[in-house]
Amino acid sequence: MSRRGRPEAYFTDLMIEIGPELLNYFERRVGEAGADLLTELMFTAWRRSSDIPLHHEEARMWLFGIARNLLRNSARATIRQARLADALRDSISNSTSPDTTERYAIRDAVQRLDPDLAEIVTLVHWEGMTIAEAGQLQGVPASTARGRYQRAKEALREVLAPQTPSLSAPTVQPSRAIIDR
Amino acid sequence: MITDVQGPVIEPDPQVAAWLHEVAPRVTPDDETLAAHLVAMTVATTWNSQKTSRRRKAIAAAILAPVMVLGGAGAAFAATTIDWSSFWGNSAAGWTDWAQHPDATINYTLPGGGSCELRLGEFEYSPDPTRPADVKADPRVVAAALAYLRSADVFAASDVDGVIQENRADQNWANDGSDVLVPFGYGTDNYNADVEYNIAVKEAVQKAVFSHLDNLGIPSTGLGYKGQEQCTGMTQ
Repeated sequence: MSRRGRPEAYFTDLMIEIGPELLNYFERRVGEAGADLLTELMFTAWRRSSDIPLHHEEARMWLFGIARNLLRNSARATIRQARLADALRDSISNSTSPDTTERYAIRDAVQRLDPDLAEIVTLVHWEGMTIAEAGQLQGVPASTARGRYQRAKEALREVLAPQTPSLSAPTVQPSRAIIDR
Repeated sequence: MITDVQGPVIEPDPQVAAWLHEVAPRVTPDDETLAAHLVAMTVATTWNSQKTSRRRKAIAAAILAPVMVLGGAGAAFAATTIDWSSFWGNSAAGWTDWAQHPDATINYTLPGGGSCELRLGEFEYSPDPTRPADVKADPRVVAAALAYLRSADVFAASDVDGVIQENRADQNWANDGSDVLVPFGYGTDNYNADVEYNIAVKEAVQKAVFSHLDNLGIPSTGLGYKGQEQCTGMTQ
C-alpha cells in the first residue's frame, strides 16, 4: 500500500501487523500499562508518519525504536522506574504458570545481568529479534550486540546451568520465529 | 539458527531460550479481538490528529455554503399539500428495539430550529459471496466504522450542505395526498427545508463514514447498519 496515497491506510496496516508485537513488548516490561504505552506510541508514530520507512522490516524497527524510547523516557513514575529487574519481579503475577524455585532463580539471574545484556537476551528470546536487530535497537554495532549476547549467555549458564538441568528449549517462540532469519 | 548479516553465524543457545521462555510474562494473544482493538485505536489516533483541520474545514464550508432562506421555505411550505410526516423517521412507538441500545448517536439542529437525534446500530458485515472477484471486502469494516463513529465528531465531518446542493440537482416527486404526483424540493412550491436537511444529514453521515473507511484502505463492501431518527420542533 502506498504511503503517499493513503497514509492512514499504511499506518493502519502497520499497526495491525506490528501492533501485537509492540503491545507484547510493552506488556512484558510494564504489565497492564502496556496498553497505555501503545496508545502513546501510536500518537507519536502518527505525528511522525512522514518518517515511517516504507520497507516493512525497517518500519518495524523504527516503531520498536519509538517503543524503546517511550519505555525509557516516559514521565510516568511507574514506568520511569521500570527497569527490567522491576518488570521481571512484577511479572511474577503475570507469568504463564505458577512460580517455582527454578523460575525464581531464572528471574533473579536475568535481573542481575547488566541491563544492556538483559535487554539483548529478552529482545532476542521474547521479541524474536535477531541479535543484529537487538543491537540496532540499542544503537550499537552488530559485533557489540553479539558480544553482549555471548556475555549474557555465559553469565546465565554460570548461575543457572547447575540448577536447572531439566529445562529444555521451547518448541514455540513467544513472538516472531528467530529461525533462519 | 540466529544469523547476523554483519558477522559469523551465532548458534542460538537453546538453554537460554528455555530459561527466558520459562519466565516470559503473559501477554495479550494476537487474535481477531486484538486486531479489532488496534483498528479502533488507529482510527482514533489518525482522527484525533486531524480533527482540528477537519473542523476548520467544516466551519469554512458552513460559512461559504448558500444560506437557507427560511422565510422562503415557510412561504413555499404554506402552499403545499404534501404530508411531510412520511419523511420523518419518528415513530409513535418511540425507538425501535435495536435503537434502544444504539452503537452511535448523532444530534443535530434543523434549519427551522427543531432538534433531532439520529441513532445508528445493528452494524454487520455481510458481503455478497457472489460478488466479482475484484470487489474486495474486509471484515474489519465494522470495527473501523464503529470506532470512527464513537471516537470522532462525525457530524462535523459530514458535508450536509454539499449533499443538499447535490440533491437540489435532482427532480423529486411526491404524492400530494390525492394520488397525484407533484414535484417537491428546493425551487418548487413543495419545499420543506427541515425535510431537505434531515434527508441530507443521513446521507452525509453515511458518506463521511464511507470516506473515512476509504482513507483507511478498508472497503465498505458488505457493511450494513440501521438508522432511526426522532425529531422535535420540525416544520410539518
